[in-house]
Formats: sequence, structure tokens, C-alpha cells
Amino acid sequence: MKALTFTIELLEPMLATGLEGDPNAGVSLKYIPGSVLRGVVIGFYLRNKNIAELSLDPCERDLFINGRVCYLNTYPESNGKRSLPTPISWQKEKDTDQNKNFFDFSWKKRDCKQYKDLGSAFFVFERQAEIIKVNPETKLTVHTQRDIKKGRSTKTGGAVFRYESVVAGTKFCGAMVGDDTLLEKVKDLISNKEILIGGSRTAGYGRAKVTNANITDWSEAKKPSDEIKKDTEFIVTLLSNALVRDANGQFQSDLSSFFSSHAELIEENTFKRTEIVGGFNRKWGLPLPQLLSIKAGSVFKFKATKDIDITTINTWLEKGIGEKRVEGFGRIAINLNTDPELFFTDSKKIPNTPIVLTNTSELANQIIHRITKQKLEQEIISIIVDERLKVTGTLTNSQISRLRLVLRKSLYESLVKTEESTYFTNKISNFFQGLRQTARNQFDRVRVGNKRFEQWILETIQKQDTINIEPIQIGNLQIEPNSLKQLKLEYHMRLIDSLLAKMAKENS
Amino acid sequence: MSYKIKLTLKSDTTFGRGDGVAGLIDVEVEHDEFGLPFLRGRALKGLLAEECANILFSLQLLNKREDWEGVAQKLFGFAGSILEAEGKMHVGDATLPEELKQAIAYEILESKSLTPDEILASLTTIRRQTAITEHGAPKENSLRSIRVILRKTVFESTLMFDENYKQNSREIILLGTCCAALQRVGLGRNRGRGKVKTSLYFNNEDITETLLNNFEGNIS
Repeated sequence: MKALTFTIELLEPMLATGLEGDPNAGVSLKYIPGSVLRGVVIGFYLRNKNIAELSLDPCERDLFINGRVCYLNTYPESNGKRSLPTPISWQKEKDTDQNKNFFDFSWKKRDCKQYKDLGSAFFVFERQAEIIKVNPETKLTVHTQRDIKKGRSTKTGGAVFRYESVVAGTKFCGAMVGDDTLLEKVKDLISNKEILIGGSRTAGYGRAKVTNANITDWSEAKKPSDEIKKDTEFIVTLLSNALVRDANGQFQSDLSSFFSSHAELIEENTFKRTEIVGGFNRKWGLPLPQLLSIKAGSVFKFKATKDIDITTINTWLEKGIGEKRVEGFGRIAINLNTDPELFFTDSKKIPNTPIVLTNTSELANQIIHRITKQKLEQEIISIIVDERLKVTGTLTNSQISRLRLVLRKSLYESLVKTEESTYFTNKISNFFQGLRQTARNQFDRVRVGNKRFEQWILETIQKQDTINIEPIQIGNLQIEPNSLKQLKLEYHMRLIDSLLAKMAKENS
Repeated sequence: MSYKIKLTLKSDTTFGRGDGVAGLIDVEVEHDEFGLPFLRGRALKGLLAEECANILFSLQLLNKREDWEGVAQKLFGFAGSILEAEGKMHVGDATLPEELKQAIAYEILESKSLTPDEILASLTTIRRQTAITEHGAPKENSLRSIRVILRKTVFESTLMFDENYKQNSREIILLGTCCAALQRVGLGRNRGRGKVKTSLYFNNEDITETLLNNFEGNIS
């Protein structure tokens, strides 16, 4: 069948909520419902025609109402493919470390072991009987109502809203099926456009981009290649929620009435769940009726009561079943999987490439500079606390303070002037040479490692190799060599000062 | 049509997250998974809407409110869950530039040379404050630590419109005026923090001043 396939990439988090949650909470669906896409297309159509309402002429009915174009659910993308809802009949063994295989109990007979769901809402087939689990990432965000003047919540106004949204960057693959000419019109409307979807879309949520819009021959899932012979068993898997009525017109959780003229249901290999679907119609300003649907992923096993030809099968697959098919309800697959045992495989991770910064180099340099300073500071703390410098001998607090004064003055000068390290080593040397013999003897008795204290200080400032950190890089930017040189000088002097402070503290 | 709002922090600012980190910070700033601070689109839209309300109140005193009320409703929307109530403008989160975000994401996720905490610490600092009693002594249990984003940081928010609004349209003129009026954001805005310069950009050109002059011309 012909389909307009496309990719939607979220530029902001998406909040396409279902009926879950309380009034101040929103939990986003992990896919984009077909009704949302239909609304987006209608919005573009109205803007294009510069009209406020649809006139529902035949063209508009064909595009939006009568099912000649069906807007299927847009499911998460994996490895460039549209994922599908995980069948409920797929289960893995509970409480085992091995997670590489699982079973399809629509084909496999149950044994006495315990099994549980796969824990993944969607999947893609990598190969026959090998799947990749697909679970879009979500994020919980808390918003607080704030008083405008005070800038914070108050007793009278401080409602808390919790939104669980699908994170920005998530990609979805979608499809619309129908006539070529109608699909061309839809493609012209949405191709490469930015759209807004879901709730809270006027601020911070819902921005997305439509790309890769193409009209192709497409099938939603693997199609059977032959007719289904009489007495053959086959599986019907729901690829979206289905709204099916019984003979009395009530929505039901059973598909047997739809296939009754061709097959009979095998209950023991049927796995189904129901879900209430609803929504809100902003045109009317009213909630939609809440309806009982059979949940996507439900699996029904049938036994054919007569030969089912390939045309009939294709019609089921192309048209879908039940009501609201325009909005993507009622999509099915026949024999989506025929292997009783399947395996997990990992998705291919596409490595990111480094970015070359052009317009934001100033801010990036600022970040690099500050992180470098933080790392140098952490390294000083580590050296002092871990006692990586072995100090023997003691100094009186007065001598420590004298030396620290000189150091601090040098430190201040290093920040305001650009001087070579020899300038500061000369200052320190002059200090030591100016000492009286008794004070000099004190300093001579102190050793750092096997070096005299004065020698260690001068070498530390000169060589600046005691504190070593990995260079920080953001994109193509690293810290400038001159800045790094200045920082190293400053922090080596801080290291000496910190050591002296520690010695003073130990004295007391 | 590409409009952007740029927020330049003139003083240290706290875009509060509503919670803190136990034992470290009482009020944390809003930041993403890479440690980059940002201001939520909802908060920014609310701030602009508040300035718009103040402008409309001023226009009421000049008996010109009616001319602009419809324009404001078009931009920001009004209460109600119907199509007509939805504003024509989408305000994105005010974030640091996208290329910087991607570069940092690469360093964090791929080369793993940086952590989100380091990034956050490089763009912010922690301020501590305590209440003082009438005797000049610190009040017990009142010490609070608040993270602030350093001044001069620039945030950008992308604006998307349902319709193509040109620069001389009343909607954009009003929006530019609201931007010029927005000067205080975040927590502690009445206590020195949160001073900002808000500018509206179109195709990388600052049009705030022009729009403000147009607005003055329109109402005089």
C-alpha cells in the first residue's frame, strides 16, 4: 500500500497525555497518536488556505474525515525503523540473570516456570527472531505556580504540577496510508516543517520537526505471502488500540466477531488487555467520550474455518479493523511472529562526533577556565589531605606567618601582573636571604621529602610540576597556554600556602 | 521567520527549581542533564505575560487598552481549553547556545572527561545568607545556601509563531515592548538578584529598540 512515511524529531520534550494521572499531573504517551498528527495536518491546511474552519468539501472530507487517508500512530524510531508495540504474549523468564532469550506464548505451550513481561513498550525486528527493545526516555519535571510579584509560591497560590514527558531528541517514525494524490497534498503541508504537539505547547514543550517525508510502497509489518488454508492457525496482533463493537453495539474486548466468518478464536493462546481511550476536542472545548479499546500489543490466535485468500488478508492489513481508523486505531498484523523462541539484541549506537565551536567560544573558554581552576583546587586539597608531601621538622607559627605574607603578596601580584616564575622565586630567595641565622636554622631543619624547605619552595614555583591535571577540552577549544601557565603558577603558590597553613594548624 | 529572545544577566540570578540538594544547597537552579542552567519556557512566557499585563494597565490609564488587548490575547492566549484561547506564540526554554550544549554533551557522554556537576559549578556559585535578629546576631536555623548563575551569562529562547508576523506587526511590536520591560527574573528579584536585559532578535539583529520606538509612536 502507498504510505507517506516521515520522521519526527522532538526539539523539546513532548507531553502528549493520555487519561493517566491526576488533574495536576500529566503522563505523556510514549508515542504520538494518529489523532495528534491529523490535528497538525489540519492546522497546516487551515493556515495554508488562510481559513479559520474546515468547510468539509469533498476534498477536505477525503483528507481528514472519511478514511481515504489514515493517520497512523507515530512510534519511536530505532536504527531508522518504525518500532511496533510489543506483543503481550512475549514473555521472559522471571528471576534469571540471563536476559538474552524470551518466548512467544501464542506459539509455545506454557510450562511450570514463572514468566513476566519484557518491560519494553516497543520493539523492532533486527533479524528473524531477533529484536531490539525500544523504550523512549521520559523525564519527570515539577512546575510550581509562583506569585508574579514575589517570584515564589505562596500560601494562596502554589499548585505543583508534575509532568512526565518524553525527552527532547527522541525520534519517531510515522506513516499515513491512503491515496497517492491525497498523500502528496499532505506531504506538501508537513514536509520539513516545525510542528507543535501535545500539551503545554505554547511554552517549553512540544516543538518538533518533520523530516524524511516520502511516499513509498510500504507495509506496517511483515505480510503473509500465501493464503491461509482451512484449519491453519494464525495470529492477529494489534499494532494499535482497536475499537470493536459487539452485536449489541457495545465496545468489547474480543475480536472474534470481526473474524467470525473466516476463523474461530483459540482462547488459550490469546493475550489481551483493554484500555480506556479518550481525549479532548479543542474545537468543541469538550472532552471526547471515553471508550473501551483493546490495547495495542494484544494477541489473538485463530483457527481458519475456511481458506482465507491473500486479497482478504491484505485488505485487513491495509484497512485495519473497528472504528476510528482515520486516527490510527485498529491496525493489525497477521503472523507478526511465528517463532516460539526469540532473542534480544542490542541496537547500534551511532557515536557522536566532536563539535567545532564558532559563536560561543567566549563562554566555552570561561567554562574551561573555571573547571581548570576547580580541578587545580581539588588537586591541592587532595595533596594536602592525603599527605602526599612528606614534611619532617617543624616551624614556629611566627615564621610560618612571615613566609605566608610574602607568598600571599606574590600570589596577589601573579593575579594582577603577568610575571615569569623567576620574578617570584627571586622574591622568595630574597626573603630567605634576609632572615637572621636563628630563623634560617628553623627553615633549614624542615624537609619536604628529601629536599630542604627553601629548595622545595623554589623548585615548586620554578618547575610547577607538583600539581598535574588532564587538560580540559570543550569541542575544539582548550585552555590557552598562557592562561594555563598563569593558573599553574598561581596554584602552585597556593599549594605552598596550603602546606604552611596545615603546618600552622598542626602546631596548635 | 526566526525570532529569538536573549536574556543577558546583569546580576547573579537564580532560576529556582523548587528544591535543593540535601546537605549542600537549599535552593538549586534549574539545569539540564548536562549541568547547563536554563529558564523554562513556561516561566519566561509567564514573565512576558506579566509585563504585558502591566503595559495594558498603563494603556488603560491612557484609554488605549482596547487597541492592544486583542493583540495581547493573540500572543499569549487566554484561559480556556478551546482552539481560540491558545496563543499564537510558542516560547522555548531560554538556554545556553545549542552548539555549546552539544559540545558539552559530547565531552560528558562520549569522551567522559567532564561531569554535569563540574559544568554546573563552572557557571554558577553558591551564596549563603542568614537572617539577623534585632540584636544583630544571626538567627538560629536561618542559614540558607542558594545557587546563583553568574552575571553576564546569556540565554537564548526560540520563539515560534503559528502565523508569519512581520516586524511591523502589532504583535511583534507589543512583544518587543514586553521584552524591553522585562528586567527582573528569578528568585530574590526584589533583593538584588535577577536583573536582566531582555532583547528580541530577528535574524541575529537586535530589534528591541526599534520596536519600543514603534510602540511609542503607536500610542502617542
